[in-house]
Amino acid sequence: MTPPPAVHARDVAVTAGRATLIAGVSLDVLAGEVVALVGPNGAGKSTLLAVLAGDRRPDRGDVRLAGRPVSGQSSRDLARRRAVLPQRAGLAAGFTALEVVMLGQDGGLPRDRARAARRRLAAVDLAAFADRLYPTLSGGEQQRVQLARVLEQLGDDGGRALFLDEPTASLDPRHQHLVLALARRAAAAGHAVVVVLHDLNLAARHADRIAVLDHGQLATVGAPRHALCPDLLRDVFAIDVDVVTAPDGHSFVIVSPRGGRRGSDRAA
Amino acid sequence: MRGPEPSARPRPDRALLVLAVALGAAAVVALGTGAVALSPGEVLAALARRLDVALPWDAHPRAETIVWSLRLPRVALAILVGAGLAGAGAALQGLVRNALADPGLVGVSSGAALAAVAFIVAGGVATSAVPAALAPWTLPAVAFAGALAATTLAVLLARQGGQTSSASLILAGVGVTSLCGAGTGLFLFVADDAQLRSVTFWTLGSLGGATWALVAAVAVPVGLALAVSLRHAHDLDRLLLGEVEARHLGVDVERVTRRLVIAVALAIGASVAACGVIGFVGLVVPHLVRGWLGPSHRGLIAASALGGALLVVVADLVARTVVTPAELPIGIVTALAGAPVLLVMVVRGGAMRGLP
Repeated sequence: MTPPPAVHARDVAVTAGRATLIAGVSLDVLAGEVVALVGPNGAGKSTLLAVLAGDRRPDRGDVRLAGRPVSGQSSRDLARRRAVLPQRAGLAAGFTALEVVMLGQDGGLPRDRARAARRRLAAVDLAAFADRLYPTLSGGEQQRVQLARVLEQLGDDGGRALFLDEPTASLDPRHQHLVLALARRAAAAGHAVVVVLHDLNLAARHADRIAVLDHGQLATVGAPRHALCPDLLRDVFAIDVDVVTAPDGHSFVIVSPRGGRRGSDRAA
Repeated sequence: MRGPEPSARPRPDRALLVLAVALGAAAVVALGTGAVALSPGEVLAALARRLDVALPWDAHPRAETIVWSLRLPRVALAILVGAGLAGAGAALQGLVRNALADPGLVGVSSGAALAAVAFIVAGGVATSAVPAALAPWTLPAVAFAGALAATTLAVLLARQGGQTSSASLILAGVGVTSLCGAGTGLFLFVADDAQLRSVTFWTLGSLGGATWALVAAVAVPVGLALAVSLRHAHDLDRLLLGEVEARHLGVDVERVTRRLVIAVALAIGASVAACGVIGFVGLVVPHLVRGWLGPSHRGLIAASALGGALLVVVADLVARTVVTPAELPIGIVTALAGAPVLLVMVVRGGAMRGLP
């Protein structure tokens, strides 16, 4: 008997007032897999992530983590099954970076906890920042501290789900790849990873599958070379693109200078 | 750029030790101060004698009675009330992520005072129905109910879309406080002279009514409130990330909020019931401790409790010595010391530290 998918959504719909945010999305993510959610602004990426993570109750549909329905689980139970990196965590209090990472831990001896948190900070390339006050860090550094906290909650034993909402938003190129490499490593450890991304090339480079969301519906889900098809991208993103294959086999999206010509059509 | 680098932070256990020693010293001085002055050695000897420990020096012949019957209940009450006010203040500030969430500013104290004053003025009939054994507990219970009602009202009014913003909390607190003030004024209007005198006691605070029975009656709710607050210290740390993030980490935000609001009302209600409104302790002490130890709530709540106890012991000592033989209401002393600190906090922007 095959185990249930780590993340399972069937026919999920979310409305807010009269607007439909998600309209019938079904998606399975397996342990060991990184799935990138891409789509234009307002396509419903963050809403879908919130539904999968159990933050938001869908108006219709079934959401399960490791086979268990998300609705009705206590926040404590959910915290053992998934970790979430929000788009921006507002924390202005005078914690040090190390203390923020340790907020992701549950129990353990103080010395072990500090050591584990330091290792985690080193993994996000912030080893020297452990004792810096969090509010004095740059936006990108804060984002990586938050990722370290989330990875500390997730642990390295696998079997859980990791949801990342635009984890690369304020990072330089090197750290964008570092963060997604860490997502990859979490998948390799046996977790299922769902990551919202704007950069199609980052998605192509690091995800096993790309789910393209458009107007609350999945336009396509598949391996980067299949999902990133120029016609689909033109329809969804209203840009003209060329998709080329890089020497290492990864797809690469090049936006042509005519990009955005259909933007006014969509707005109307 | 923002406060000292954390390497300058003392370890919480050392800070607790320093505060405990300072509190012990202040208590010994307070126990020795009064109509009959006792040296610290005499105070210690008097304390030890009741515990059947003989110290190698002699004390004033009446020292044991003076210390144990007259002064220790008052100092013990000061310690409990200070610990309750400041510990609850630290928990409340963490819960609403606002360093300005003084129990007095969110309406807790005024709610407790309104309930207590209403009970003093209009509650005579109700008292006669209460069994004698429960009588000393009636007023604390009433003040507690008032504190709980006012806190709940302010927190509910301030909650918008699952978030409690600092500005709306303070506005809601101002509204609840003025509502309670108007109610208190109504009762004052109909009160007779004897009732007015005991009402003055409520609005400015005094530890003059301390007895061992009162100490016992305050110890239970304050102890409970501090235990609950310390138990949820890690949850409070996580709440500083935001409510959604705390939930992601497994915090049952609604339950923690409910429990801590009750704990805060318990501590403040009992304190106000025992000795009236003593302002600024719950605001200033946690703020100073946070600047000293950092925002981690386990150390913050414990050190605030000790610091609050220290402050109230010293303030009471000042209140009863500065205009002898009369006594200054202790609320005036803490306000004189605390209000300038609050103003400095506002000017330096420190009041907004810890906001989401």
